[in-house]
Amino acid sequence: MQRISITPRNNWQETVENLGFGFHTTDVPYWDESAYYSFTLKEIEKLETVSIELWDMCLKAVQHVIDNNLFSLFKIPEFMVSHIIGTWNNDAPAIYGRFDLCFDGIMEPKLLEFNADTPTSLFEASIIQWFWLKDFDEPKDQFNSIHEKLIEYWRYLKNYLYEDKLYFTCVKGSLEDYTTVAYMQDCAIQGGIETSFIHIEDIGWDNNNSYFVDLDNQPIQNIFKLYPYEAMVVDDFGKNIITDNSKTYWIEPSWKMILSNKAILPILWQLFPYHKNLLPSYFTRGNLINYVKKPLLSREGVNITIVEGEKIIAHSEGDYGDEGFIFQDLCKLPNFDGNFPVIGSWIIGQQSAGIGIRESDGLITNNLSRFIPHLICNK
Amino acid sequence: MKKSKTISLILVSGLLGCNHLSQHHRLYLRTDTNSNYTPTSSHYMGYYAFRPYGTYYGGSYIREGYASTEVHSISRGGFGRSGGFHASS
Repeated sequence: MQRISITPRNNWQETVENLGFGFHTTDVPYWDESAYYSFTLKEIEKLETVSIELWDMCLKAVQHVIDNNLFSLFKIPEFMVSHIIGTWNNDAPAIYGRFDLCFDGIMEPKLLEFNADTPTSLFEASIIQWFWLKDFDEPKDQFNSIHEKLIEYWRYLKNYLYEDKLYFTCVKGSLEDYTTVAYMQDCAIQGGIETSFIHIEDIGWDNNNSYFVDLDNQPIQNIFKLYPYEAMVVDDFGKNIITDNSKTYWIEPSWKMILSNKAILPILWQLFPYHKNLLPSYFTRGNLINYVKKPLLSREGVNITIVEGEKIIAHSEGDYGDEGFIFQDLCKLPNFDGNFPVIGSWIIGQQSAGIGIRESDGLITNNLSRFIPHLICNK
Repeated sequence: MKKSKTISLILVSGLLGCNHLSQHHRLYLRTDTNSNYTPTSSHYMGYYAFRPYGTYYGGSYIREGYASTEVHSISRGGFGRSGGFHASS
């Protein structure tokens, strides 16, 4: 694994915008092609193998949480428990997730967390970096079959959805979220599914019939959301999920509330102690000396504290943490000349589908991190 | 690793792409109002819905107005109220 500095393409902004990528730059560059990461095929195969194994372990962990009624450890509202168990037992449609891995090409990849409910950076990983490769060095390959696998899996899921259109939804006012959802919708269309878009604020609840409706007051039976469950269930409106007469398929299904919660990390460590791809993780600090304190529910790297010895070496502020924290043994991200990459490894359906790399200037990957493309080089 | 040689996007480029200058100016347009709904109440069965309607034209959504005269027993705006939250993770 190497980080190689290069000259960006001329007019790369226009190039990526033509692909529909409008959030390449905010206050700071997000898409960054002034460098790329090069992997050997062996390293890529390692990431692929590990991702599949982690996915398998995660599924076992969900079953363990359900069998042992461990929902309180996750601070999941009690009214959601039966819904979660129902979606798990009925194998409700699910399509994707992204493992965040610490990997330097030498050591075993280590699981930092699993973005199982609302993973983003999908469009960048699937499309933008692929077209970058075609421009930069077309004969080379990339660990990236995300696009094909998404289409293929939507085609597969079509038979498991209600015989109605599939809605796609996200919040108003976020181009990043809208792009991700539009891309996912694109893949579903190519998978042969009839689709429609509705902003999540516009979703209605029919009080007479007790089901969710669109802006034409038609029932919503299948819906892909880029909006997290913890936000959906925070007030009374979310409780409609469990009284819904349509028994709407929300994708991702509610059992992903278990995997998207950091409490899954201590559970995994309990179930698979000393596994080579896990970091020791606990609900209390215990004997950890060098550790990362993470809220159960946290996004964009907020409310993270990294302690080495007795000293805080990194900390981020935010609004999470009321629900509690977990403590994870510190695994420092590799340092490539002051650049700290996290590997985002995508699971589509049941398969490992590719990676995207986000890079930061420090040990905490946050909303200022950069997306860096990659390629496979066997020299 | 990447099996296909061609990738086509049938929706994204039309909605978000800017192959033409005129479309570029539409890149950041939202598909409807950004104003909030009146908070919903689970205790109140029915109220006057105030909802935008419109049509899609040339890949963009054109808002034509609001429907506010019909009585619906529909509550809206219950999701998405978590203060500027979006999903990046």
